[in-house]
Amino acid sequence: MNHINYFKNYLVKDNNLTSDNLGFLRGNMFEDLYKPYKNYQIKEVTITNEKDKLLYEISMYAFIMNDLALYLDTHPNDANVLEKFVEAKMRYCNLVNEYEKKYNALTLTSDSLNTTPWKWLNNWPNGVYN
Amino acid sequence: MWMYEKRLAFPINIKKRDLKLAKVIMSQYGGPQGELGAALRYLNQSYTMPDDYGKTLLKDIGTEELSHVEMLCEMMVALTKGATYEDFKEAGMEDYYTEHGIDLYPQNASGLPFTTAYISSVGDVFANIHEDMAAEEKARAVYENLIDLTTDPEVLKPLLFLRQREIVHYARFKELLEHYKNK
Ligand SMILES: [Fe+2]
Repeated sequence: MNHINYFKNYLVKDNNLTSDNLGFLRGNMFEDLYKPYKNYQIKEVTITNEKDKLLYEISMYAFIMNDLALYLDTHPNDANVLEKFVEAKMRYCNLVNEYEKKYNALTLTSDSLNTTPWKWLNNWPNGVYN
Repeated sequence: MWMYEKRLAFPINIKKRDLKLAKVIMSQYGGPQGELGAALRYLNQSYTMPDDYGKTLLKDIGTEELSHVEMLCEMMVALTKGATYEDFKEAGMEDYYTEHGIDLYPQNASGLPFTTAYISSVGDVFANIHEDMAAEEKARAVYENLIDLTTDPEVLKPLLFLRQREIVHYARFKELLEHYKNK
């Protein structure tokens, strides 16, 4: 594909990416894009058990994948961010595997659905968090 | 095509019932600057974007907005969990209870039902992307109004997250606009 000059010359600055956890809690992986509201502070999410911790990490890496993907949509030549995307994707896939082995299926592709009774019925998000 | 993943985009841990807060948060579900409208606006426009840049970005952001719809629904469910008709009466929400009981319904904070008049597509890529950027700014402003009205820290966490996403989306749409300007 023929990339446009605008995209080619507008690459992310070094060290512009926020750490995994803070970026997720903020809802923004890009330091130079981040805009806090008034003096509200970013607080950690309360996690009380192993299962929720694993799910939290899955959501964190899924978030990073998505946020970097939106960036790559408009900066397809940025190798630094692509590298970070590949790393987040790998972590996400490993964590999903671990979660589905230990607990429940997150999607219909899970091997945990191969035996009866049909486990897709369980594990709704509100059942996990509320 | 979409595939459902059984988890929320961001964890919701709300334990305190607050019907009035649920009612105003509903605005970001089915109101004019809400996430349902955002998802429809971008997904609908994505089909006729002039190149792969526009198609991809609109599809990706539209998909993310659907996950925000889900977050808001879980927030409203948590805020109204276990409420009886007496609680609705006490919160001055007899009108809502009459038509919807304890169900969710996409409407704005004053009860106007969701309408596709909230979204637009005019056949002009520049006008459409300007509309998308304005929509992100307005959604950010509404989240700020909701944050002003909120004291529960467990409601603030997802609201601050959702507000920040509008800032990121605005920036990406702006980059897409520059791309079409320079083409
Ligand atoms: Fe958005």
